Amino acid sequence: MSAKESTEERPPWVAHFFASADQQRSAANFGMWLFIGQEVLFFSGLFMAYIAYRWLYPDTWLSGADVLNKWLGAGNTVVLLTSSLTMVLAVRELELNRIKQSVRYLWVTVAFGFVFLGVKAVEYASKFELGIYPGAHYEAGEVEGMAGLFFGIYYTLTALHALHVIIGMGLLAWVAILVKKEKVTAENNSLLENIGLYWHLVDLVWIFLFPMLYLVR
Amino acid sequence: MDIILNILVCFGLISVGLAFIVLLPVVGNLLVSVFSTVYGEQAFSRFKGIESGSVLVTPEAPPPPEPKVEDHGHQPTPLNVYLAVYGALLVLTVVTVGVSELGLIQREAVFWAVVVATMKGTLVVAWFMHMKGGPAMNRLILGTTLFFMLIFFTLTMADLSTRDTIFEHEAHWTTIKEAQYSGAKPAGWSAKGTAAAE
Repeated sequence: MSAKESTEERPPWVAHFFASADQQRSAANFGMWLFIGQEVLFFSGLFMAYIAYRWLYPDTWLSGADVLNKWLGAGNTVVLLTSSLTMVLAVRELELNRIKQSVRYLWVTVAFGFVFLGVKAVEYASKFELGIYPGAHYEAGEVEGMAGLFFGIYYTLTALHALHVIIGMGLLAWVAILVKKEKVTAENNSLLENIGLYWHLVDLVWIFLFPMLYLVR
Repeated sequence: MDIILNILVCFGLISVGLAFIVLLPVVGNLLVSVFSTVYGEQAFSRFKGIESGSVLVTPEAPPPPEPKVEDHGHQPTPLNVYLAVYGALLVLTVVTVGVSELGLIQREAVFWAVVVATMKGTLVVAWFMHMKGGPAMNRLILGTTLFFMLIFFTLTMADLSTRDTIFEHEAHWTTIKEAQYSGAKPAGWSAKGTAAAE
């Protein structure tokens, strides 16, 4: 009797193998944090490459970072930080059951993603003009030493980060539609929260990338 | 200079080792307590049901206790908190760009860049990602990740930063051996050791 009653009470979006909505929510949160840990380790390999080669070729890093425009980098930092703010506000508005505002904040976050990628494209274009292409295609002679190595690491780190931004924007657009259709609601907001965590991770990686590539010279 | 660096690396390794020894029981206890709060009672009651032979449902059995899940996200964070964190992040961005304009030497510049980036990262993780007030398990996951990242960085840099010294020693011994085989006596070399061995 009690078992039957509880199945009637439970919301339809709780999977059958979870005891309760709370358990499903905490399991989703736990899984997302495991994924974040994995992502941090994945980026740590690239950071290690940066540290090791910086140790081996310090002069290259000094002359390489001079080519990068730190104001564009700083601008992009502000863009990503603001997008993180609109992301938490989107989650908060849905918690307060204000669907329209939540959807609006989600699209604003996506727009900030486009701004970030736009600035990134301008930066890449200005490097290509100098003949600074990734890897073996490097043609510039202005920068001394093993500059190809510095820009190889620069391109790998920033391009992988940009890939994360693009994936995050896709996820945000998807969840914005789901929130609008009320498939994701104030009670059932694990998907939105987890995509928010992913977006903050993208922000977090950039917080470390920006000073490492643009500022420290 | 190299000696100071080597000592620093050794201290780093020792502290990693100590941290591992100290953290293991703490981490283990935390793991056990978190698991037992989240899944313990439920799993336990299920096992009891099977042991007593009555499959799945006993008529008089009280309903299983609700698994205790740490409450998070039910009470939305006040808007002011988010705005304050955002403001702090912007200020720290200005600070880190400002520090880079000071023209510090490389070592200091790296130090301050890492310090400010860590502060910003902590703000994002604690408030935007709700690590603060969230389940202890999340802290455990991120802590373990950062711990293994530290091992990864320390061991790799211990290798890279001491390689030159090893090559120097090898070159030194090769010179001595070559001199020995050719019958000459290199400068500063006493034949005492070899004579005793023969």
